[in-house]
Amino acid sequence: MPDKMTDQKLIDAIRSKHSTEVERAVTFLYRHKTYVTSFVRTDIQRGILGFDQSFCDDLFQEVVLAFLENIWHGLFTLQQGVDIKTYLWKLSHRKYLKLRSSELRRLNREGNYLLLADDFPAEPDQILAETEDGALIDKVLNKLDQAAFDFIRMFHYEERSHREIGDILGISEAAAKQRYYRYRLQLAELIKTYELPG
Amino acid sequence: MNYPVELLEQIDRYLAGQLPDVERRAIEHQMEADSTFRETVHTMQHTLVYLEEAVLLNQAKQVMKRLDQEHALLNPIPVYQIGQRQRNWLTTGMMAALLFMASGLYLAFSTIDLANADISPQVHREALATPTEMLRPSEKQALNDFISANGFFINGEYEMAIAYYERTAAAPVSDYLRECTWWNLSLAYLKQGNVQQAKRYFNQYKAISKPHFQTGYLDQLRLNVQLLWAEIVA
Repeated sequence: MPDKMTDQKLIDAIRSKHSTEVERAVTFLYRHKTYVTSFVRTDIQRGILGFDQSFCDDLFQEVVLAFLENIWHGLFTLQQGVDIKTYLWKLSHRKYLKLRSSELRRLNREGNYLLLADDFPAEPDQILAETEDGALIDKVLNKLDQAAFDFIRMFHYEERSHREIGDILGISEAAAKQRYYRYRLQLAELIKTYELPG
Repeated sequence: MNYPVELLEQIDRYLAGQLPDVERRAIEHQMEADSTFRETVHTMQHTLVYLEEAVLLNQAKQVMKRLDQEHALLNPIPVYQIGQRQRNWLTTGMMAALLFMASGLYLAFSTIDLANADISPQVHREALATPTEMLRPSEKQALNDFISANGFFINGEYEMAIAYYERTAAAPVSDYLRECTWWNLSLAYLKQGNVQQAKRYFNQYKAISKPHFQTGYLDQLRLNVQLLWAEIVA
């Protein structure tokens, strides 16, 4: 784990989009996990809500991914008096409140528990942070059909060549290329849909 | 956007900066001339950026999963399942009930000490505040009766013991010996199964605000429990 990274260096590492730099930045961010998810431990209802260690792991993961996207999309810029640790805490807290109230609603629907009054009224910076939710990439990729998603996963995530993918799917390299560009254009359409306001 | 795959491939190479100058210029020229083509190039670029970010996010997830596994044993959040607290209360309640029952059984069946089974004339004399050199014959007789009664009691001859204790209780004896006798009478009647008489003598003993013969709290509790148990059984 890197010993020390200033906030500026951290942002630069993420913006570079170099695999090793992003990995270094994420590893550094991990040290804030306990702080960023601290309110889960102090929530007296977490037993009812089933918020355990794996919930904390997932929450922190979502927060870091949203943070990376916010940096790449220019939604977070380092300013005077802003520190990353606190920003992550606020992102995390807002996500947590959403998950919490949704879980309480679910329990209420099941008729087992009363919906308790929200202990934490929304703060102005929470409302601001709602515009910086991120996770657009996941939403778009999840909308792709399974074949397109599998193809893109093999090509981009697993870095397989068109020839290798063609072998796996039992098609020629040329046919694999054709499919790839078809899926790319499908993805482009989806991105357009999600990026349109409203 | 029905462009041939070869052209789309060429666009990707252009976007990656891998095209020779001539081809690069040709692409740029076409972008200037054809707005649809320009839009296609931009779209292709946009998807590449998205996919690049998706790959990086996936990598970030893997890094965090690995770190989660490495830190799994450090300070994990204790897990409470729904209803666990209620189960804890139930367990505590059951343990308390078991403990209560065990204590009750112990008190109901443990032996209660007889009063001064080895009472000595010296003690008797002190209690009477009489001259130490000798006892009066009636007192000596009462003391002997008491000691004999204790002997009968120990041998399980409760009827005989009761007869001797009653004689002692009726004699002009010291308060100390009388209280000892009442105590032992309540035990003897209890052993005999006469709960009413046992309770009567025990109540007489308890009614004394400052008894000369002191019994322990545990012995009194035992006797109370055993009287209660005898009443329930009867």
